[in-house]
Amino acid sequence: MIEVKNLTFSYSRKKAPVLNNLSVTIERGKVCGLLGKNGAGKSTLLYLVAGLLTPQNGKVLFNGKSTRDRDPETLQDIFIVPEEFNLPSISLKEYVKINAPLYPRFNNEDLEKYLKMFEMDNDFNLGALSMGQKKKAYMAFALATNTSLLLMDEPTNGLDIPGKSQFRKFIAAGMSDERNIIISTHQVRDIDQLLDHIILINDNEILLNHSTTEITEKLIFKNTDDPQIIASALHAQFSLYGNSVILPNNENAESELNLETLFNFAIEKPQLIKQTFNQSTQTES
Amino acid sequence: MKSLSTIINPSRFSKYFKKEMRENRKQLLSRSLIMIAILCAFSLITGLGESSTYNRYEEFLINHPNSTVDDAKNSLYELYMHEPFTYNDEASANCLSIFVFGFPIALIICASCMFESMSTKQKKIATLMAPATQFEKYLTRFFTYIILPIFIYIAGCLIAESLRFIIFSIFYPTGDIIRFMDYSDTIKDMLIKDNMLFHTIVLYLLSFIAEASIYALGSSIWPRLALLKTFAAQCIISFIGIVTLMIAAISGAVEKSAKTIGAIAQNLSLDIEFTTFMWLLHISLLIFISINFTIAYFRFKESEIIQRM
Repeated sequence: MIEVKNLTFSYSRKKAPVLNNLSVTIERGKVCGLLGKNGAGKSTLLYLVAGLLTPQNGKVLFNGKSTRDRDPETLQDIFIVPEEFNLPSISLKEYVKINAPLYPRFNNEDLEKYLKMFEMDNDFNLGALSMGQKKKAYMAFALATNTSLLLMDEPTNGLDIPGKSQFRKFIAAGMSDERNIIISTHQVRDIDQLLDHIILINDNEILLNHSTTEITEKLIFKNTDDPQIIASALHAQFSLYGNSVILPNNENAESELNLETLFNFAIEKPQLIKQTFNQSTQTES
Repeated sequence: MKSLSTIINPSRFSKYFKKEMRENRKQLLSRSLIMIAILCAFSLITGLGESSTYNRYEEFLINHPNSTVDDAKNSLYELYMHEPFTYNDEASANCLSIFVFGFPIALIICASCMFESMSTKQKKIATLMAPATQFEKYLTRFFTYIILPIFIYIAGCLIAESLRFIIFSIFYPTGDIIRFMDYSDTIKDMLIKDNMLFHTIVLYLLSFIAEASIYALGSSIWPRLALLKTFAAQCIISFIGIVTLMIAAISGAVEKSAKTIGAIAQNLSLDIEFTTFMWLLHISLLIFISINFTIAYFRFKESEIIQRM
């Protein structure tokens, strides 16, 4: 379990905080999407969770331990896949041989399985790969470490078109009840079917922090050209399949989450989304 | 209280150390080879510089088959020398001087690379997220960039000297003109008889390790271009120090302080022997080195992926 408690972070004392008094709890067994506009603080939050930055206030606890302490036991259980990374110019086999002993739950069979998902074999030099292939190999290694927490910053950047659908299968295959995967991205279409939980950050605060089930229980997502429905919608936007609309779900209807529409709704009408979910939370409690 | 395994665990340290060495082996090997190649080049250039002298000895020995190289030297220099003296290969002595003065330069360059794994955001993430304690990571860097280069440098000197000896022995096979560096007697004297030589050499070594510790600290502050930045900082600090001293000297403060210190020393009857004084100097340098490396460790320990001064 990850507990972010009253987290405030600023890159410099003179600058306004990127994150202000932020509190979130993420339960185990969830694939969590961290969404927000460019510069909203998604990557910053990811780095704070990993203990790579020191907050001005507050703390991040992972299984009850502060990640900022960077205890080796905690680090053995966290893996981060940054947006950009360097890999040594050695063979994958050698990379695995020297890095796997640092992760007690690493599984070589899992690695082979994940590499196959990306249509890669296990006999290549990491230095000779393209950026996209490097990312696939690194993500396969990351998932094969079987750490309880896997943090991914813009994982689909640089992946080719088949790579993006392979990525969705890959995450689904690597997920278990014992692990958390947090994906920070602005490419919502690549991951919208994958997420169990959504955290949406905007203007230093959390606009939305709910499971996808909770969201679809409160909101209906549909594509329509009906002017009456459009007029009554909480949010409507033009799409190639007609107008993509969000309606209040008063009749427990089922619909498929449209992350892009939800994102735009939250950014355009922050008060309305807060009101919708706060009211429902209060009613539930 | 934290248990020792939260600071260092032998098994984890060995895994991390192996990983660092193997991932960076190409870089470390190429740097070591460059260092050795430079030493070899200097050694051969020094030998070439002595070639005209070797030619004269060679010619003398060919013309006087029963003579030794000592006879050759005495004969060639009889106009200048009153007493006979034994032959020394000057190139070997010159090589030693080069090796001795090259040592601090090599050590400083290596020390300024100590935290180069923190020079970019990607490298920082990889370093900080590796499952080992910051102390284990620091120790790995200390060994790789401070301890290991000393041994590589010594090995490099021996290789360079051997190369010079082998190559010039081929060109000057007569007699015993080309000699391998042999300072075993000097070292014995230094350790047993000559107290002053011992202290001078220890002081020399400690001074340069102290200088290296400054560059290691500089590398923890500015992981990128640490050598240039630390050098610039040192120049600025030295300049400020010199200016301050000059101002103090002009205003008479230095003279006044010297008199006060002299008076205090006289009152306390401070009559320190040379050996005690040298030991105090060594201890002071050791403390200075420890402070620099400790500060470097704490800067590294508290590192983040963003650079905060």
